[in-house]
Amino acid sequence: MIWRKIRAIAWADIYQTFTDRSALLFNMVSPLAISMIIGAAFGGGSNDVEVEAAKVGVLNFDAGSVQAEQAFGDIYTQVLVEAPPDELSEFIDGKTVTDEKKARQQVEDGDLDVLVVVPEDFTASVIEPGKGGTLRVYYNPGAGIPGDVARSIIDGIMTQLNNQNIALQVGIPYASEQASLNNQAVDAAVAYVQQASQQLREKEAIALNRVSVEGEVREFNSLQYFGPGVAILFMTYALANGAVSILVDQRNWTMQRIWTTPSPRTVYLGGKMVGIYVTGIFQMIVLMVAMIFAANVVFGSDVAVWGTDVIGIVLILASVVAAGAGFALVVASFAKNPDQGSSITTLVLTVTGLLGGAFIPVSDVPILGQLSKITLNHWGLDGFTTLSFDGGTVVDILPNVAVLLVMAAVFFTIVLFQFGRRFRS
Amino acid sequence: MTTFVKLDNLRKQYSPPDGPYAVGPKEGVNLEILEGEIFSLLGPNGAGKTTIISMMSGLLTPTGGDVLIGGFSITKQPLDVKKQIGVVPQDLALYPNLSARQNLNLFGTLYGLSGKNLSKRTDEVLEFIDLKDRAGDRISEYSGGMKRRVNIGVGLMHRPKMLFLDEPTVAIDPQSRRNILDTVKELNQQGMTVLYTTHYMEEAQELSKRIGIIDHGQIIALGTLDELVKTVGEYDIIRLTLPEPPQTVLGRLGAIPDIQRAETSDGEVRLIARNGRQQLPEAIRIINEAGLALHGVEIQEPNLEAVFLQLTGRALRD
Repeated sequence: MIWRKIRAIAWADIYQTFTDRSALLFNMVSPLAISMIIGAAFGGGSNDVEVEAAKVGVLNFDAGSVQAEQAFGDIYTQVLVEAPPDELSEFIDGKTVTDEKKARQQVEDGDLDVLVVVPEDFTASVIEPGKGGTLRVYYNPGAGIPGDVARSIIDGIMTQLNNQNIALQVGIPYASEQASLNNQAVDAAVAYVQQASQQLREKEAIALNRVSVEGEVREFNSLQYFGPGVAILFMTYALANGAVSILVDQRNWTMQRIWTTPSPRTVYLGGKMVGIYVTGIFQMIVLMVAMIFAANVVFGSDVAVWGTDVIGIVLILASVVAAGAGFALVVASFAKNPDQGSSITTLVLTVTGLLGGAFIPVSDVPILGQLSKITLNHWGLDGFTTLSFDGGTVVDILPNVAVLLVMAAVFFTIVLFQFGRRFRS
Repeated sequence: MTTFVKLDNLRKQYSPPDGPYAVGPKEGVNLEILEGEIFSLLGPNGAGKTTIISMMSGLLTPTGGDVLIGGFSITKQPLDVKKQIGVVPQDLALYPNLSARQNLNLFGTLYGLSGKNLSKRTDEVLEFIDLKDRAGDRISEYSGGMKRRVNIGVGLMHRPKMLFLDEPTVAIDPQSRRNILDTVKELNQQGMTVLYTTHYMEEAQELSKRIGIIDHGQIIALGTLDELVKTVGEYDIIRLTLPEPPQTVLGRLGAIPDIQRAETSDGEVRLIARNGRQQLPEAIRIINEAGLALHGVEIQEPNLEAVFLQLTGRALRD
């Protein structure tokens, strides 16, 4: 009986939400349009996409090795700064730097797009069987395509060095092959950039291949980031509308009228919560399907925008909507009336959305990166990109799910307290 | 007839212990409503009518006292009380983006109806409020009168023994008002007990045998229409319409023998006078002497307005 009543209230909310054309336009069409625009801007643009040269700093500490004729760090200096091939000069504006601290600050300030730090033992580590070298690459998240191109070149060289290292380990005489291997690294990088720039020009750059420093090749689609970011932000807006509807019900006396029926007051709040939650889930699913269509059909990419781990996707979806519903209700519960509620929730959700990286990645930005961790947007977005971009599995996103569920529990506790206090008669 | 509702020393104080009393500032409200009657609670805006209905329907918790409805206490058995009452709030407490049928279904479910019973009862109520043809239209597309009818219909979904109507005719056209008054009478003829609050004395006079007059959270008079009018005696109300503030002559008008009280507001002077027709010439002479132009004169026979005016010194709609 109680569940039937809760369901009736929830249904009324859901029905009103999805028959409100202006709300549908805002909650469904807007995020889709924004994601598509951003997606196009980051890879699916016109034939005349112009890519600015990436400002790259190289800090080479590599001391080399007695086993190698040339320190591998010098390859980076050579390719990126001293003698970039003609094909690369269009994309790279490199310089050597000497002060790592100052250079990192330049990255933070946007004066450099990418900073490559080659450690002292790099060559020694690369050629030592079973070890492998590690580069430190700092990049400005706002650098966009130039940053991606620069990182691709750096990673491309790393891939060649990895191959070279394997070759060493299987006994190919290294010294005699050295010169040609160096040339291979450069050639590979040049070929890679040529391919990438060609794709940009042919509207296929949405599928820019990004090579990680470990040498693993993975296809990247900008909707993998911007899709979840924008979807979560607009999902919280929709949830806020649901939360504010409690204030509307109070103003219109529908809430009080429900309280005059033989139903405990918790039935009303329960119905509202269920309605808000289902609305959020439904909106996210619609946006997820729409973005898959956009990425795979409109942009012609074959990446899984939301990843392939269905259980992981469901868990992140369920927990981020729970946290979003709780947060929207908390914000609305402090408003005096529906008008104030709408203003406050829009402001707070926009700020937390931006802070959480809805439009611009902030995780690598000092201070903001740390602050973003207090937002549900960050944990939801990180969960989705872990599943898609990083190819993670359900195990990898369990921390995100846990954080989001804790957030939801805290928010709903505050909501019960706040509304209990507010509606005390 | 037996007592169906009993208000026992009912009080409501906001923010106790120092907050103001909305109901029962001097003493608790005591009242009995008989089974099968239409009882009207008449009073100006802010008199405490809605607060009393809110306590009777379990929306507000009384600070003191209790309400018994059908033998159940609202403070101890609220759900049992709520099963017996239908509430029609002053506001249009409906979801504007749902149709009349959807609103009735929703509240019917909340009253415990389901399945075929729910759809059958929804049809019956739509028939009763004469909106079956427009049942699928959104409430937002209805006229004010149609919305009021749905507002009443929602309160009837579970066939309550008693209906609370809180100023149901505020801000509607005369035809819709007529329709609502006829509906209330029809429901009462079917055996329903009705509590009707209003600040329109004509409605209370037309609908109810027994009327309670409320002001500042206290019931200041209670009885049948005849009993209440008798408390005024043979006093009439003389209404004089003036274009200028009549403060200068108010004292002189009040000093006329057999004029019990002289009040003014909104360009109107109201005189409570024994045998009003005899006092009128003297009143007009005073106004003429003061150089004031008289725009209108009306003499009212004793009625609830006069009762309220005599008891409070104010008009019902002040």
